[in-house]
Amino acid sequence: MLSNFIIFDIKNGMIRKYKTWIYCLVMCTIVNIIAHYIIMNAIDRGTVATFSDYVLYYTAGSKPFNPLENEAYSIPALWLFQILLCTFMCLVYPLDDLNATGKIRLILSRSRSSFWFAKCIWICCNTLFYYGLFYITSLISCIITGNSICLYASGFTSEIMGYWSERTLEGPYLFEAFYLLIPLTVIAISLIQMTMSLLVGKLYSFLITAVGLLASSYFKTSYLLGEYAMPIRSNHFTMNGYDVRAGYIYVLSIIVLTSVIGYFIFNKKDII
Amino acid sequence: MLKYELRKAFYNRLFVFTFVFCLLIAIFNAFIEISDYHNMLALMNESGKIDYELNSLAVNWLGHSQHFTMYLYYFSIFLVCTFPYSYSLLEEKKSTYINQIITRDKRETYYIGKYIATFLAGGAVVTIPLVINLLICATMIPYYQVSQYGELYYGVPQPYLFSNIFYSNTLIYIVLYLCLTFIFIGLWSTTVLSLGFYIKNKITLIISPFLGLLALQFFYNSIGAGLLNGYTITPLFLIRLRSDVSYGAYNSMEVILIWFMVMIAFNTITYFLKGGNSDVI
Repeated sequence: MLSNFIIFDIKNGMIRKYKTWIYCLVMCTIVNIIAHYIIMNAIDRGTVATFSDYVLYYTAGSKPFNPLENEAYSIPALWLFQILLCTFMCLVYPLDDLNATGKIRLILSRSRSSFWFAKCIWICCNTLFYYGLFYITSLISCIITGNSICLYASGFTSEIMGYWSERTLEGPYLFEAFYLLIPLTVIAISLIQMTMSLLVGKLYSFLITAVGLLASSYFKTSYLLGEYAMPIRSNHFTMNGYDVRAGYIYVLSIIVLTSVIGYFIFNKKDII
Repeated sequence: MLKYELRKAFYNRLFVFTFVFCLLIAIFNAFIEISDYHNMLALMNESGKIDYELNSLAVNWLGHSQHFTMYLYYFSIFLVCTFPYSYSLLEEKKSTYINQIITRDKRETYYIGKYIATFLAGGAVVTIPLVINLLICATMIPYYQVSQYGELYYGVPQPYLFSNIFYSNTLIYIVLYLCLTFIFIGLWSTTVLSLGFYIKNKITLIISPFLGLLALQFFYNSIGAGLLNGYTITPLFLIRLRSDVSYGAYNSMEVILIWFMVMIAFNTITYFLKGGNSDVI
């Protein structure tokens, strides 16, 4: 039963929405071209760029804001954009499907759990595919431009992007742990968003997600999920940064917990 | 028809929730500002040197704040201003309500009424909490005219729009920016209303312009900031009362006027011309 639901969701929510993926691909290409343009300026100064530098360009996030440092807070627009675009894609389909043919499938299958957990798995697939697109585009950009396909991020990236501070560790940085941690964090955020949309509606759940992400970029607190989607705040990059292993445990627990809580809320919801 | 549309725009659940959201931020900020004012005053009393200008209401309210609430407010207003009524045309077309109205009244009256209602609802939901915040702060923080000596602290450098007014009469500066916020946000709401002719999903209609703004901000940060000598073109910074100097964001009347013209032209072509000629029934 669950597998049938999952296949249906992947067909309807991903394959049939191929136009959205084309837009995403165009966006990924533009982001990587700009990343390349900025990285090339650094290479002129005798530095070698890596594949991880391209990925770090759009996933880095922002350093925690400290009002005492006499600097203005700058909104990490690209970081917010790439996460909010993914959460937006994960927001529209599940409830639209429920209001369309979903109700009939729910009645015929008589299994709310299959419906809910299929949507959770669909969010995982959607997010992983989304980040897969970004990574593949970066990989292709890296190969075309003759840069190194290396899982270490060079030290210059944090410097040229204005992330450098006294607490920043010396590069190169081990980056491989973040290739999965970032999508997992976005999955957790999207699952929370989907669960919230059952209670407060889609618009407000998106607003809460956006506010939460902005708060993550402004404050330094390991309770806000957005922190784990910012590699430059980890202990790989910064002194006193968050522990990557703890990040995995926290994010995975949130995924499991939200799926279960969401199921109970969905089970109690008056749908028909 | 206008009265009816205004009633629908201002007496709906989404307007109330959005207004409450903005109001909560404004009230929370007012408490922070008042608390900061008292702390600063106590510190200055201890040192025996009181700087009245730095503690003026002119620079201690939501519009001029440096707290998270200010960043949150100016970040979220472009999203929340569309919640109250910008989706109404799309909804009414979907529900075929528009057919009932157009066959009973003039098409122009309906479209103009909806346009004005959306403009006013979008502008009001964002600007009224700002005014309330200013009034709450004014109950506890005295107003002193600020001078140009403290330019570094106030974040209003010379190239900033209306900076000369800021240092001569800050209250007029505040009123001008409140009007600017109202008009800009109102026009933004009507632009989203016009987009309803192209986007057929309510959530996509409301959220995609906001994502577009973030994308524009990213392009500006990556390429534009250097080319434009620090003058911002992105609405996220255009209507703020203070500049993020280290971020290189000055606003200018030319850019604001271009935005106004683009939004009005888009609305005229899409909403009035396309809407006026569209086959509804």
